[in-house]
Amino acid sequence: MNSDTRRRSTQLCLAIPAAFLLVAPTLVVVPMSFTASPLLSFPPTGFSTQWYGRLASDEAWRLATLTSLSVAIQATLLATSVGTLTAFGIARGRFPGKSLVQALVLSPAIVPIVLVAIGTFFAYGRVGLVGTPAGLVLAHGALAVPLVVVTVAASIETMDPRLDLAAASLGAGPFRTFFLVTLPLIRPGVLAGALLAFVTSWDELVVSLFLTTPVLRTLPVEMWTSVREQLDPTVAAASTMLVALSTAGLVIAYVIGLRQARRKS
Amino acid sequence: MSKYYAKSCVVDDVNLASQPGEFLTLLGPSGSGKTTTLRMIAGFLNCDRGSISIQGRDVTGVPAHKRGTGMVFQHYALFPHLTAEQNVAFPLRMRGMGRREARATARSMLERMHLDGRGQHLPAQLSGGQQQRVALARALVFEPTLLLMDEPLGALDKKLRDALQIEIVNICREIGVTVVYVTHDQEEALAMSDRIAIYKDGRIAQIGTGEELYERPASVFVSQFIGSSNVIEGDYDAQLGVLRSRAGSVRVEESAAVGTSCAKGGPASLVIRPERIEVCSEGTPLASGRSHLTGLLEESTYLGSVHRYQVQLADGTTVQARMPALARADVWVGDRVQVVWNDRDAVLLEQEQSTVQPSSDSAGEVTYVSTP
Amino acid sequence: MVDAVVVVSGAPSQETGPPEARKSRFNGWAWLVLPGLVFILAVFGWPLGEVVVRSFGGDGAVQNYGVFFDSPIYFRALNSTLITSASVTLSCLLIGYPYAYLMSQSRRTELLLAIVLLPIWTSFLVRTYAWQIWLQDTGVINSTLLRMGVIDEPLSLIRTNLGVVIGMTGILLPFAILPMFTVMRRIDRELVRAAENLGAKPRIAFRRIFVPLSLPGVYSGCLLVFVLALGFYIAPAILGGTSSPTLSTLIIDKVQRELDFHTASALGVTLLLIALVAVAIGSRVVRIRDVFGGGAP
Repeated sequence: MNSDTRRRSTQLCLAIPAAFLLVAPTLVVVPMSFTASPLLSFPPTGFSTQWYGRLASDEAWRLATLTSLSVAIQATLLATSVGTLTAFGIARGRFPGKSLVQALVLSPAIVPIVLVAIGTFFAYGRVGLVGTPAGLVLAHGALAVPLVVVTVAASIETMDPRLDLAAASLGAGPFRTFFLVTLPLIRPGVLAGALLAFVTSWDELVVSLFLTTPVLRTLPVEMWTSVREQLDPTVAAASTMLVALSTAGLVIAYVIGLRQARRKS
Repeated sequence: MSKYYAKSCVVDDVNLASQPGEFLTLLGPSGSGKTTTLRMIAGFLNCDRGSISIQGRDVTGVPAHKRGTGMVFQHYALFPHLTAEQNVAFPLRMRGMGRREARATARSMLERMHLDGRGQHLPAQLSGGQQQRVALARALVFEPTLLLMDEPLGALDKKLRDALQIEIVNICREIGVTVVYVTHDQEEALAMSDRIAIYKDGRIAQIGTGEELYERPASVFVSQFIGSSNVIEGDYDAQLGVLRSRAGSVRVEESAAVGTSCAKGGPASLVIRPERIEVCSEGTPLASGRSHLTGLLEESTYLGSVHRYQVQLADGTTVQARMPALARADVWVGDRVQVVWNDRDAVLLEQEQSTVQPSSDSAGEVTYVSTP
Repeated sequence: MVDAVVVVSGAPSQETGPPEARKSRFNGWAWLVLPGLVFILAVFGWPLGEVVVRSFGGDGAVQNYGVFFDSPIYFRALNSTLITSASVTLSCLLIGYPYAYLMSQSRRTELLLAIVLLPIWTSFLVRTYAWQIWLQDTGVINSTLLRMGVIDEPLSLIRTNLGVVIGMTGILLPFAILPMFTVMRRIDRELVRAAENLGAKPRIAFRRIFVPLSLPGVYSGCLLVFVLALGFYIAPAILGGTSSPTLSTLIIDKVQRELDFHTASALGVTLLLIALVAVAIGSRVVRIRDVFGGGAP
């Protein structure tokens, strides 16, 4: 009994450094966004919501937020549709050279991001895609495809293949089987993939740095420029908003998960 | 001599003592506390009250790795990254045996289990039966005084199970190890054990040899868990030696009620095994020492060696009879029939509220239907 | 025969043939990879091709790749990239393993998992920037220590390699923890119990049984962290000093400031080769698809 408690407390102590590293960023950003001083120093002095006000009123921040949202939504739709199809091809398809195709489709996750950034800058520059929302959507979409493919392929593979056979034996043709049985079953995987795709685009900075112009900036690019040029707490406010938004996303995902779990039981 | 006494919420007031070299089986429905008892003996769970001793040594607070009990787990728990031989050598290495000696000992143990040539295989490359034997070899190789087995045959198919039952009993006898074996399969328990402890709701309902449990069950629950039985509920009149049930009155021998709390009279259940019941057409004269009730023949099924009849009595109670197929009666479904038994084959027991959930293997055989 | 409901005749069914004959090399599902393949090749493969082509252009490949021998700054950048990535990988492993272990054993897995996922759903940039607030001279650590009187002048945590490693470890930790956790969760607890029953002390049971079985997760996590760390640009740019730039900061400098696309491309291809070598080594012990399966489980 005694040795058990000791073992458990050792486990807990050893896990503390990791827990600290994980929560430390969030711990400072939130209080800093409410500082009254125009300087980014710790601890924050006074209390004020002026930086949130600036975030809402400043034209540049507002535009950047809208651009980021629109790009992220389009990139998500693109990556999810392309990625889901590919996932079916990889999970169920049989063809020569499959492992090569798989490696190619997954390559955006492996290639160092810096390389992607300068590559898209060179290539998209030739066809006038630099500085356009379309360029951002295509590049972000490519980065997100591997995440969708892996997530969806995993849920296709864990699906009981006999369910498809059962549907067929009950008289459903291949198309109806797909839309009435297969797709609903893998929907959690597709949703998870889409969520990852959205976050990938929403959060992407390095490639965007090369594809944006002073008149077309995404939120991370705006923040980056702000950090480099004048360090003021608007950045902390923007970060807090992002944390709040992603926490909300996490909670929504959790609730969806709960509801699905409940429906199953 | 091994002795255990333990008490907790899941397992309440369990008293067990097993003899050296004995094969003791803990039998009961799932959730009845038999696995909990086993895990307490192994040292994976603490007992909140009571004590456990092995060979006279009190091991109550001793951690699992110092208890020296061999254990075969439900899904074998073979280490998937070690070969069969390495698995078997593991306990020897843990006891400080040299690498080479441990290998040699492990190999001869594997040979003894007819696993020669499989030593270099990983568990995943072995069949279910082979994995089972490796698990047994691993648990026995360091010559423990006590071997614990937790439904070790549960994952195997019937034929393999039957073969391994015999194999396990033989090897344990040969080695002389004391075995505590957990199962929910009554046939397995009967086939393997010297004694069986029947569990119900965290308590031992009865402990004894298979024959004792079958012939003199201490409760309706036991009578239905080991084999199957017909239950006739009624009011026992000790003076007249008669049980008055709604389906009619029957004679009860005095000896049938001895030792039970209803010996003095009151509500009681008369329990009779289906194979001790005979079905014949109504009005057939009876020999002395025999009792009968009448009812409607509902079902008559040929099962090869036996013929099964199902009769509904006047109060709705269903009675099953199993007669040798050769001795089948000249009765047909829908006939009025009488069910007949020898008075000395019936046991009088206390009435019980709950119905039994049958073990999976005897699902079709439980005949107990509570009277409305 | 005519009235029969089921008729089974003696012809051999297709399923009973030899496996090679039964499995054709191609099926209809295969067509579905085409859109993805075309998309990736056009939108992603072409840019990569441009980089490779440019690394051979200009004054020629010898000149472009030769920079490593011309100026020590490039060689030092290569060195610093490798050392930073390796240290980040090691510290992620050492710090993340106990946490993943706790996650796999604890009853509060959900809470512990939420702590890991929170940063993943928070922007990279925000987290890097938050580390700046922790580490800078007027930051949390220094101002606390100064006020407590432990130190007289701020520790130089930022603009140093130490700062980069701390920040990157914090940022990449979830990518180390999640694969390790996924594998650890699947380890049958009964195995450790079995080892203890067979006479192994808890510490030995952990080392001989649990650790070897968790290795696939360790490999996945390390590979993922190492490859991601290679391409990191944001963290070194914000937290690192100017004295030892990494390859990625050099590459972006070359393109943005010096407009020297050819050297930048050569450096980029070098970085790519390092990543590919790491993945090739990694693919011997783990399935690559499992490694790069995205952050969230």
